[in-house]
Amino acid sequence: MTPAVVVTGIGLVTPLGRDCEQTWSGLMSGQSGIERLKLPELPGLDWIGGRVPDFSVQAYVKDQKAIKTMTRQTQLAVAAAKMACDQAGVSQAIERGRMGVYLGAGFEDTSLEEIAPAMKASMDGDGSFSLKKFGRSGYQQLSPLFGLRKLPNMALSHVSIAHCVTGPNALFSPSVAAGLQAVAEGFDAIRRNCIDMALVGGCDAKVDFNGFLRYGTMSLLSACTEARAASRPFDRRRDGIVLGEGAAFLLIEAEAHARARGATPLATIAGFGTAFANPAVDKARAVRGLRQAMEAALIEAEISAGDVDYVLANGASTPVHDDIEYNAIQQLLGDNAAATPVGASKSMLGHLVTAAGAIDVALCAKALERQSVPPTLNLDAADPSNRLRFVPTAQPMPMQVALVNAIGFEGTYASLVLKTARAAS
Amino acid sequence: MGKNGSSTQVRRRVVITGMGAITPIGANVRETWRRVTRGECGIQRISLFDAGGFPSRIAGEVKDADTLTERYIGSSKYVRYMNRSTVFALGASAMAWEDAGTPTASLDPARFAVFMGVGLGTFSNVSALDELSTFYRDYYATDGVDPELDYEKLGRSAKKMDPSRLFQKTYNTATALLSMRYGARGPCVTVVTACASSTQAIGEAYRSIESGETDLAMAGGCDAPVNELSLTGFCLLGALSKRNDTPQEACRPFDRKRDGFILAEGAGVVILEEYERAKRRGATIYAELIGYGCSADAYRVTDPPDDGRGSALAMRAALHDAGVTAQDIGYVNAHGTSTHLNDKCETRGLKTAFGEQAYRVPISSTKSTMGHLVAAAGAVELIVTVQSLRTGILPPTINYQHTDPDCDLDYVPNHARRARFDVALTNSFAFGGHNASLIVRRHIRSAA
Repeated sequence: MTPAVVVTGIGLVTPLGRDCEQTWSGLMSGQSGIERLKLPELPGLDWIGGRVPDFSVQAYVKDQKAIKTMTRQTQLAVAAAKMACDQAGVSQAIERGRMGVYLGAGFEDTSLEEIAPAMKASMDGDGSFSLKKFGRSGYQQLSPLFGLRKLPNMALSHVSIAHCVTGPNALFSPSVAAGLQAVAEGFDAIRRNCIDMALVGGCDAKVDFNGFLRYGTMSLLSACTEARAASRPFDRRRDGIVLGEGAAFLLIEAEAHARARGATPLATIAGFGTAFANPAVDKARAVRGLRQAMEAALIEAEISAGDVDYVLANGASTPVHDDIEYNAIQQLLGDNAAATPVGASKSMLGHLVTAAGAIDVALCAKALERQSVPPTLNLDAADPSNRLRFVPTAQPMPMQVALVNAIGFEGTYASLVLKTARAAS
Repeated sequence: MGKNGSSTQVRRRVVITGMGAITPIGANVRETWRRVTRGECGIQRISLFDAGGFPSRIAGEVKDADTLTERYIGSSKYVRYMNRSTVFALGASAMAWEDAGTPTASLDPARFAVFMGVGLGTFSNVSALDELSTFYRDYYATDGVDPELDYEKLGRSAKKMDPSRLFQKTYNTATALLSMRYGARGPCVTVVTACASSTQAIGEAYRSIESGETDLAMAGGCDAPVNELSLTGFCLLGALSKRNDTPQEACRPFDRKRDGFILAEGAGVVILEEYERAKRRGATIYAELIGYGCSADAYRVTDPPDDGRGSALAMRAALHDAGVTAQDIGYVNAHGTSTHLNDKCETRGLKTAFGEQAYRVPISSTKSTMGHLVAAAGAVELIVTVQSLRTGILPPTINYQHTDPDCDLDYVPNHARRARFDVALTNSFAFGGHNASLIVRRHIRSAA
């Protein structure tokens, strides 16, 4: 029989807090993690974004020497993974070969600060850069680990090392769907009985100059400079994403495995679907693509659209992706569209890109456990054709089934169905 | 529709019906295979940029790369989004697609996936180091002893940056473009696990078809790490061979005098198809993909454990998944990078996973002829393994001259050999400790 898969641990590091409880209470009290950034490296520049407050990786890592090999997103991932394992009570007794790790992670950029000393040492007398000089000696000014720090799979590697996970693994990048794809891969491997448990999650840390350069150049950033008001999923005045950083890890396992070791299931993962259709090529097809992903997730979960009690939408806050999403959700829900509550966490956390899907799975698991949902900020007026019922304030919400979406800017759609955990029999 | 609950119970058979490759020794699968079996080497002094100052300045470069766009892509408006490795990916995919006989008849596009392993080619084309040095010159106030970056100036000019450069530096550009080009509306997945990327991408695609989620997948990998920044990174790690004066002899996997790997570029793509569907449409079946295994060393970010236990776990998982034993394996295409540690640890891992059979099974590293294609290596080596299975020719490990007590297996030294076998395994192990193995079986036509 195909085993049921449950969530038994959640680790979250977000602009609203350094753990799941802080993040959850911040969301439920309608706080925004977006702020005017006073980054030392950005004097005089007006940027807004969501940074993890007062984050220090030392608290989460045993091997302090390993820290210097960790980039920011790796540090966030390592912290989230530890908290997920701690909550789930992953002990030494668990067979690590039957444990997997799947992660969505973002691009590792090269910062100018990082490479400046090598550049300085490679300039000719006339002020021009000499590749010969750079190759002979200049490059030695770089950290010996410079190359490793460019590999996004280092986050995956560090997590596998920290928790001695020797089973199957993979890293997906850099789509917004990557974090949700990672959750789905672990889910699938447990259902196939290939492993008993998996750490699944996403991380990203682009709230820096390179991040603003990357997403600004792609014309994806909001031009709004008022921090709290800038990320406004599904609002008529939405004009782009606001970058956030963070990580989410979930410890998921076969239900029987969790029960046998006395772990408490927080939620059940029931189905996944994914599809591709580039929104710039054909919008109608993109809407069908997302709908197809959501339908596939429902089919795998063996439920119908009418069973969905809550949708945690991707809600990027870009004109095009939100447009695609509300149309696809409306089509999926049909007559229930105006009655089913919908939320968008990016209104408070910002867009955590490759971490976003996993963050929203964690929040949905929390919502199912608490039977309550966070608000969606800044939704003053939706598009005229948007008939969905958004949740403006935090509120108790009796629910059995929740649907989570992740939408890649390039047109990858991913949907996951969660259910409440069954009471112990 | 997606995979549904009941279909995960039934394992569907997955076959390879198309193959395409662009490598330093061949513009296609046929030429690459011919030169692999003859033991011809494609490693030379780096010509793509002036690497004269670097301690290691040899690589496996794709020849006539500038003709690929015209030949395989044409005048797509997306050409400006493509870095060098994306061009390789589109070329190899076009060949694989044609080779498979354009398998779209009666296909539900929602059940057609693209899985690609991608790597450091994202640094290529845009000449990242040039870009950085320009930035450095333009935006650092150089009057002081310690230069300070003028971010305000940089921020203003950044607004004028060309977005296509960003897409060139984005991992999933190749995957998304392939999905668009071939009308794949199912999973679109980009795997980034360094040297294991394409082996994992193919493994995940295999799972997707096997489980019933999809019926057809384009899967493989591309890379173009012969660029300044990648070379810099690997020079700093001290991982590259310094045999700059004898490039043809530099890559010597399992030889006692090996001194590092050699960067190489290219792409490999296979068309994976559900068996019944392939049979129905009369496709040529090259081999059946029967096993995928994957593990993590969970040891160090840079080195494998001395005993190669992580690699053994991946090989055993693949054997288990395939339902075969080590005795059934007639050929192993090794990861065999020619670094001191990899080849020793892989040999130990093989002994752990295979027992006595490790001493009997022929093992070769075809990296000896073309270098290390990093994110594309696994896909190209799977294609080589399939060719070996089909033809009964074992490709050699060239430059094998000095026996190493730590590497005492049969590495098919220097000359190709004939052998009859039905099942073969190929390995890929990555920086960071991700290990992946695939197993293919000769396709035997069942009595219709």
